[in-house]
Amino acid sequence: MRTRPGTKLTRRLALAALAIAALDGCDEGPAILARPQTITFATAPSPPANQASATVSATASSGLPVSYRSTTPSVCLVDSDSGLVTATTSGSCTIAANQSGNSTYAPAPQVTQDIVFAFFEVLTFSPAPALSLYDLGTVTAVDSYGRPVSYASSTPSACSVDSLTGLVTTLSTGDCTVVASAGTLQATQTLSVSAPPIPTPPGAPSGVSATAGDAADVADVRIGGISAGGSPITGYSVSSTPPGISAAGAAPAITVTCPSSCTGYAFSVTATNGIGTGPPSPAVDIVTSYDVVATFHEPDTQPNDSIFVGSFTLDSTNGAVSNLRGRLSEAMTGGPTPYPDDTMTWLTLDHQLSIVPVTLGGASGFLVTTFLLDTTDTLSMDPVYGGTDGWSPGTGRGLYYGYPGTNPGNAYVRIFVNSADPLAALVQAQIDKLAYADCTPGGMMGASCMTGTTVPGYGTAGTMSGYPVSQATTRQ
Amino acid sequence: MTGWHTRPRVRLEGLVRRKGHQHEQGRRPWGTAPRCAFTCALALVMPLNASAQEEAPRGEVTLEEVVIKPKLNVSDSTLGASAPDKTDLASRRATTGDAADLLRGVPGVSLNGAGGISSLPAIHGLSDDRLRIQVDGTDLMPACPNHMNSPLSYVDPTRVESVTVFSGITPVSVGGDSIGGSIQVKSAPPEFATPDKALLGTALLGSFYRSNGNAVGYNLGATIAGEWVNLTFRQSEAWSENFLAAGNFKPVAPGSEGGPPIPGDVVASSAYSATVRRSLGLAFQTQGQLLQLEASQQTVGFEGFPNQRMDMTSNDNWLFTIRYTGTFAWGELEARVSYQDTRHEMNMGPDRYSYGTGMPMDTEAKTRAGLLKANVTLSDSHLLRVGAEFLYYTLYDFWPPVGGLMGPSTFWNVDFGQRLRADAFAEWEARWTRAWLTQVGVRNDTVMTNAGPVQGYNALPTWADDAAAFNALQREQIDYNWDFAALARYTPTSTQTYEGGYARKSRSPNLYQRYPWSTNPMAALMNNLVGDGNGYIGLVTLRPEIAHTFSVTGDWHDTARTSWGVKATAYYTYVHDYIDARRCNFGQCSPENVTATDSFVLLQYVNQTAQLYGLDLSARVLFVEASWGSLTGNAALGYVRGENLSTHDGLYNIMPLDGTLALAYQLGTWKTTAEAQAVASKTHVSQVRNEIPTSGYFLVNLRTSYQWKFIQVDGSIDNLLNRLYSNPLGGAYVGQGPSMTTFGIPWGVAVPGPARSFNVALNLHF
Repeated sequence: MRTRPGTKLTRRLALAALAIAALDGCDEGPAILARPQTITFATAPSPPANQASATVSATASSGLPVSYRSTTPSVCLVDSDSGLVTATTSGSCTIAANQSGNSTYAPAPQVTQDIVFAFFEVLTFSPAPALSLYDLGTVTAVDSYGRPVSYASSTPSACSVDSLTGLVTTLSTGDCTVVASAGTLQATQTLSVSAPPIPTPPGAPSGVSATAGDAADVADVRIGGISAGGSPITGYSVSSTPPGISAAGAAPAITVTCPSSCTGYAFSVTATNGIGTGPPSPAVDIVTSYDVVATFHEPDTQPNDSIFVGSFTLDSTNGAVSNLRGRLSEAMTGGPTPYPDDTMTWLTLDHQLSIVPVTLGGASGFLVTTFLLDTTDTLSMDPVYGGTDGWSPGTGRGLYYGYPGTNPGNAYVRIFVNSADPLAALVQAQIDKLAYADCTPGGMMGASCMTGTTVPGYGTAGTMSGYPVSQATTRQ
Repeated sequence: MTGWHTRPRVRLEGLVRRKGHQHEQGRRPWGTAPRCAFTCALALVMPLNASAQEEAPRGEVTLEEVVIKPKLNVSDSTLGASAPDKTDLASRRATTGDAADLLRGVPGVSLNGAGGISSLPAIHGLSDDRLRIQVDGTDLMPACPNHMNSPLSYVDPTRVESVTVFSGITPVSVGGDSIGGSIQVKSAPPEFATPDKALLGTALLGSFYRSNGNAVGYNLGATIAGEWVNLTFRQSEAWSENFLAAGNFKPVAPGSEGGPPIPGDVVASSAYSATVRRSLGLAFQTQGQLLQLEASQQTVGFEGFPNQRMDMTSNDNWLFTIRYTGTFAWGELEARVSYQDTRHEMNMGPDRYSYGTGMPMDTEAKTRAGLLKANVTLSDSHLLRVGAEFLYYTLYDFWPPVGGLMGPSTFWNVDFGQRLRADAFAEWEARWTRAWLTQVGVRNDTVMTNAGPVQGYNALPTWADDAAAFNALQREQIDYNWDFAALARYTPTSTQTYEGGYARKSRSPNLYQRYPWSTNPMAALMNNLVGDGNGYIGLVTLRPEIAHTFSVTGDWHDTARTSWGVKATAYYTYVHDYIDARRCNFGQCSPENVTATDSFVLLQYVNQTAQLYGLDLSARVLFVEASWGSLTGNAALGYVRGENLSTHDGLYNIMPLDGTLALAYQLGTWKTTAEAQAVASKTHVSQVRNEIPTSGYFLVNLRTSYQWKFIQVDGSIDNLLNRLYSNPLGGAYVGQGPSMTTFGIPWGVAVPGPARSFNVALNLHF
């Protein structure tokens, strides 16, 4: 026995086969010829600075129409037919061109083209606070790219500045010049520090903020400014609402230690100078921003998983979670390179429409859900298909909202926020309640949306067997 | 030994003992004495012997007894063959819609579970394409990535007149492109009017009912024949609801998105409906020549498959056959051409998630086959069988788009798959002495396979990367397969026979083992020929399997084979390049796919080395025979073990030790059988497939059959004790729920056997 391809005998046998087929009058041969085809991009457009749109153009060697999609939706979007690219921010925008083939041509290998969009880099200061000697105030500069801004004083004899917060401490009268930096961009703002008034007790601190500390029983309280009353501030004291917690310090940033947890407390600050103690600031909640990455393992789309990369804000005083937003990957659209160098399509979810208080794994917290569209309409709400409210995880049997009518094309991600300790590692009971659903074209198989759930959490695994495996939360 | 026509009583020692009639007049057809003797034998064993029929005198006399030395059977080889008991065959075919059911009880044969009418026979642990299954001499081809339309599913069981199984050393004249043996299913030969009747008319009508699943079926047929022409029409149809197990074997849960909860004892996706088989045959005979033309159609409205992830939602199969057999002075000639056209559709049945749109998967296939075979009588003691065959099979397997990521293009699983087989064989059978018979044969099968380029649903890497890699491959493969078989039979006395031999048999991979290309789990899960719930990816460079089989059989019995008998067969098969599977660790297969032990997995076919060995034992004893009837005991024991020598893993779907004891009471045409079956637990499983072990069980079945004039009534109770058990060859239960994904259905549930069923059948023959 030998096995070998492509011999003369093979050809003869193939001809004999075709002859046999011809005898029975059948129209034999490949249904698709699957001729290879390639896609070629025209020269990439170079949009001038501040231009938010450009058009890409690609042609297939077959002459068949090419479709486009953005693999960097956080930077740009593209019209699938016309190739019109719209940038949402500066950066490198990657457009993929595809041709699915037909009965003659095989699908073309995907090709990509990068377009760089550059908007004017602008670093803009907010109006400068009016400061007298001994006063504290905050300068604020905003980078048009949203990059973090750092601060420094170029007049160190006149003032010092907190590099992160921009809190200026006046040291002498005259001009105080603050330099803000973001990337390579710099901007300056000059404050004129006036002579101190006749000494009086300080005013109430302004711009007070409280954020969660490194542990659940710690909070960091900062002031954004204060009228010192013409006399140097000698100390700050923090008191809580409800009362019971207090702290004091000489610096405008004070670490407060709570009995077990700072959750539920608000804090106010008073300042003291050589004349006396000023009035308290209004009590402020503990408000902290976090980054979060939730991963849903997709055994049927390896090496790609469904991944949510986002952020949220937690008010630990009143238990409010807000601004959950981020990007969700579509695992079925990816190639052989896994995240973070993946080629998956990413959806932007920025409509937090649900927050549900829960106790899971012994911890209180919230199940927070953010959507692609400004509606929760995602999954079928038809009771015949196990539907309920049109989106709750595990309902609707994965069919899209309104099935068999028009699909609104929504998507969502649900995460768990531990209200007492948002940085705590999730236990399995909490992971089990993470969920996502993707009913956009990149998540659909037939009329079924890709979902990720667990049997313990929602009675069913995802429609493509996807299930949550982790959620990592870090403080911004 | 001249003047055979004047020697009234004939006894074929060692072959046939028969008291009959012979024609008073007639001419000696071939002139020489040996040929005359041969013809005499032939006249008795060949119903279509022209000499006997054409020259039949109008008067009859009782012949004198004459002793004739045993002659070779000029017809097809039956060496190494076995067959189900005729009475049991008649009883079984009356109450089943699955022709494979007729093979139950044949030593060495077991049935792999599939759809309700599509069980897959296995011989000594080798099944499906590893067997050559012919229906009236024609190779019928499946056309489905799950082999749902298996060859025997095309066959109306009520048409089956005989089943011959070559389970040990298969003669090359009945083998080819198979390593496990051959199964020949034959319908009754056409009847013709005798010269004294101008017209022969027969009709039959039958129906059956099985309580488990409320299965019903009917069959009808009519024949009108003259002395030279026969026209026969047959039709049968069967339906069944889902059958029940004898207890809850899985949780109560909805099967589909909007469906009701399915009880725990219901074997979902086991129903079938509108399974119609009809045929129209026209036959001509003259002067020892027989020409048969037949058109047959099989349509299936729906057939569920509890061990597959989809169901057959439509199957339309047409088969056209022209067959010629001629008996000449030098022997027998057979020529046959056939054309099979199959259109097959799979989709999610009502017990499964439909994903809103269903997942249509369509297949179209055509098979053209031809045979020219001659059985040449070289002398009284030597017979030569030579033949040439071809079979050309083309396959289109395509999955229409349904939207989302499964579109906008059609997914081509196999586009213009081709399998062309050209065979030639020669087989020499010799009777050296009264006791010794040998048979030696050699066969060459040249097999070419090929497939066209493919495409996925769209250009996303999920589909396009695998398609591009496949399209870049050299897909055309040609195999030169050589078979050899040597078999000897030794019959020292009239009470014992010994057979032994060696065979080298080859089989080329089928198209579904070489060409499925997608590593996307959803796509791979739809390619599965064995019902284990896993997904399979083809390997273009698969080599043919080559089996070396040694087999010995001892058969001890009383002279008349009526009082007692014991038969034992031991066999050993070493398979080089056995097509097994390995875990997929490339493409879209996940890392955990390689190590998983309790889940469905994705596999790729691969050549490895395997061995199978075992023992078949059967015994029969007539306890008593009296005026009130006879009491007969039957026993059978089967043991087979299969091992992958490359990985030291078990082979998939190997029947555990099983035994049957039956006690039959017969009075005239009334026969009643009580049967006890014991099956050991299945612990030696295929780990690479995460095959599910099963427990042992014990069943009791009752059957009774009565024939009176033109009426035959059959009744039976299967699983009398209503035992809940897992069918060791039933595969993994994936008959309900979201079957499109690897983890959508829980792993670890075996398809159970049916609960107690009361069966009854009534057949009328006019």
